[in-house]
Amino acid sequence: MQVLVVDDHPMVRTGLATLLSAMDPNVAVTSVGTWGEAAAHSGTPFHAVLLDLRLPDADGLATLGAAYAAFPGVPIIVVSADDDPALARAAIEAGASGFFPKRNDDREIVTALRTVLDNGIYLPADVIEAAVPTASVAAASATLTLTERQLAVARLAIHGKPNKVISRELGIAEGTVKSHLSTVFRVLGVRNRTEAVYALARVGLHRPY
Amino acid sequence: MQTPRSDRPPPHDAADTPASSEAFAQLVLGFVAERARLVPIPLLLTVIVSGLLLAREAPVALILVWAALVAATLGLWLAALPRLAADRTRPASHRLHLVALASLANGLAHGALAWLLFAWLDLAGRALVTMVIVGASTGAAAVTTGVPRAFACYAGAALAPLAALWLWSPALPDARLADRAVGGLVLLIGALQWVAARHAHRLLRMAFEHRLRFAEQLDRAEAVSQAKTRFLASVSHDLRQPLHTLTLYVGALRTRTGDAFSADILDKMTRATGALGELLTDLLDYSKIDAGAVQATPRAFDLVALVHEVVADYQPIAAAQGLPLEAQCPPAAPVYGDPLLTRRILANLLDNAIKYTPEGRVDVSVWPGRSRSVLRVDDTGVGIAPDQQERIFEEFYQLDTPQREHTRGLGLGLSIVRRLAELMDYGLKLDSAPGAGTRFSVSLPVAESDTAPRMEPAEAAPSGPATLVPRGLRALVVDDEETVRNAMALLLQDWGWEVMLARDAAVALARMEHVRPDLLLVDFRMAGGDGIELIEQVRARYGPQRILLITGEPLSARLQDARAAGLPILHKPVDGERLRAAIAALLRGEPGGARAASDAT
Repeated sequence: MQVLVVDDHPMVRTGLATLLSAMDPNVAVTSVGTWGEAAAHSGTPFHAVLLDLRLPDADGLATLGAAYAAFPGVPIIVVSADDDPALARAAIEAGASGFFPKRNDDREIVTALRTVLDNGIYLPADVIEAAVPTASVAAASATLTLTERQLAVARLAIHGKPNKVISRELGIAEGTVKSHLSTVFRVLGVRNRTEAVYALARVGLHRPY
Repeated sequence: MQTPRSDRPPPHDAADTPASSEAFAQLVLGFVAERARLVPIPLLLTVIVSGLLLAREAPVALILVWAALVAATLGLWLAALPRLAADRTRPASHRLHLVALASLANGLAHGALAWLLFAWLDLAGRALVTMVIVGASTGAAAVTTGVPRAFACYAGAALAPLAALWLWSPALPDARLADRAVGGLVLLIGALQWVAARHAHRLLRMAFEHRLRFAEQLDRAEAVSQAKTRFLASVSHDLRQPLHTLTLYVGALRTRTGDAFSADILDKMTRATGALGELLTDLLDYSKIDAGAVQATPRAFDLVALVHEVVADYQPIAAAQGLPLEAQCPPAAPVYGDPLLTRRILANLLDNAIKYTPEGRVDVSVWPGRSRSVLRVDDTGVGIAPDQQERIFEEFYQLDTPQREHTRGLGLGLSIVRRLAELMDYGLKLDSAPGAGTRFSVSLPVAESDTAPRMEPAEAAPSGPATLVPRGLRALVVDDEETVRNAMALLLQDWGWEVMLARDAAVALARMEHVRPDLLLVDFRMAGGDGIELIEQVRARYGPQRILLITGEPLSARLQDARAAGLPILHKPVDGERLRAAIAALLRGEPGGARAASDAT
């Protein structure tokens, strides 16, 4: 599978590429340092895009919108030096499918990357807590009632894949896709994509993929 | 090494800059214009009194001419001065020339008294005139303070003719020498007044320059401080990237390393990168606060719940140093503030308390009040001397104690505490003495009862007796009855726990393959074997686990054996408090305690 790493710091690019390859030899990492170079890869079927918001030729959340448009259906994970939960929320709202701050515990990073490689949704636990502390109870019971298939459908939808693509990838009917989606949203008690991201990340905390 | 500021020679006199001269000129122009108001009344009185006295000897017409001249030049003075002071289109130094001209006119007018009337007056009359003019000149000196050239023009115009008259006019039958002497005296007085005027000007100028220089130094200090903040922010940001990269490489290495030695080294590397990351975070937080970039979002929240969370986080750290850390709080204390920032304050205070307490204890307490509630952190540590008590709040300042070698941190903790407290209008007090420990008290405004939302269940300590069970753990409940399973699930979820359910051993083991729970609650009776068998299987596969056995049956021999072997057993029906106590004991690692909490018979 192919992963695109966009970060203006060359050391970090090399580090991420090394780690990803060490985690999974099947991963081919393309790393670029500017948004311009990233956009040039627009057609490539990446499995995921790891995007730093601070780039020399594009700054901030506007880059996310552009990435979401340039790589439809591909999960865009924001990798950020800033771990402010408000920034995480803004990123999710702008189309990100995950957020991981450049913290310094390698085990946490490996968990995050593993989640991403497995198509999951990653948010750091404290970011989730900061946003929806009372959802812990709801998510806990959701763990019990949603099937893996339903969760898989939901994750793909969050990544921006249209229902048709989801039905093809998972080998199920489009109608089934829609029904799974509405079930998941109902059970999780979420009303929009952003809330779904948080809820699924929370579910993911307790049900590693 | 830079010499201290007081030793360095004062910088070049900034008086020489055209800009500062102009500013000074504008300033004194303003003064003179202001003082112009004081002139009319004394002048009027002088004219009237002296006019009346002199009218006995001199022709009234001449006196009236003099009065008219004085009035005219006064009018000119009063009209011109405010306009000159306000007119910014011409440089102030030019305008001062015009002031001097106006002074000249006034001097001529006032001095006219002498050369108009001298011929008619006797010695006494001339003495009176002299007194009037010299007096007026003193007044003029006061009115034109700061503009010596204006005074010079006035004095010259008023006193020179007077002195000349004394020196050369036809003498009266009285002493001739005395006439010249008076003329000389008049000139002397004029000279002295001129010297005084120059001196006053110089003093004013010096004061003005001092003020300018002070303002400049203030600006410079402010600029330095901002530069420091920017520097800190950029340093901590720039250092993060290579640090993060190191972390990534440690992660990559970990995927390969099998042997225990290397794994251990990697763990130590992770700790080191973590510590470095924390230092940088401190630095970055400090620079954000310093730059005023931190906003408080105040709302009502429960201080006691927050205290319990933070204390729980710090328990392991305190324990590692052999220090008991306890919280003594009432059931709740609604306050108004930013919970995240308050958490930071408490965390930093605890950090410090633990750091500076080699032995003894650390206590956190909450004292609710009517308008303010107080959060207190007490330690039995080394204490702080009175002369240090202000300095410890300075950034990068740390007490010079033996603990210094072991401290991590940059000395920013208390500086951040103080600034955050200021931001949220909390009171901050320090009581300490060397050898007597330290107490930090933070006072927070109380939230009005209708604005304080009832605490969210996930945050509240369980109501009732204070057995505390940490939130966010995961339990696996194994029971063959669905109603029991669901009831247990609800109970545990209420505490903010994650619950997995299984109806028999097979399902339980299958679930454990994917996710490891923190605690197992196993019913003794289940389909296909009993709870004890399951426990043994779990232990065989996954090693020791925290397990609580629940049974509705009286103690059979089998159960008694299990209990004797150390397995905590609870009897149904299980009420919430007993379950909590048993779980809390288990989590603390006291299976014996759990046993005591469980049913005895």
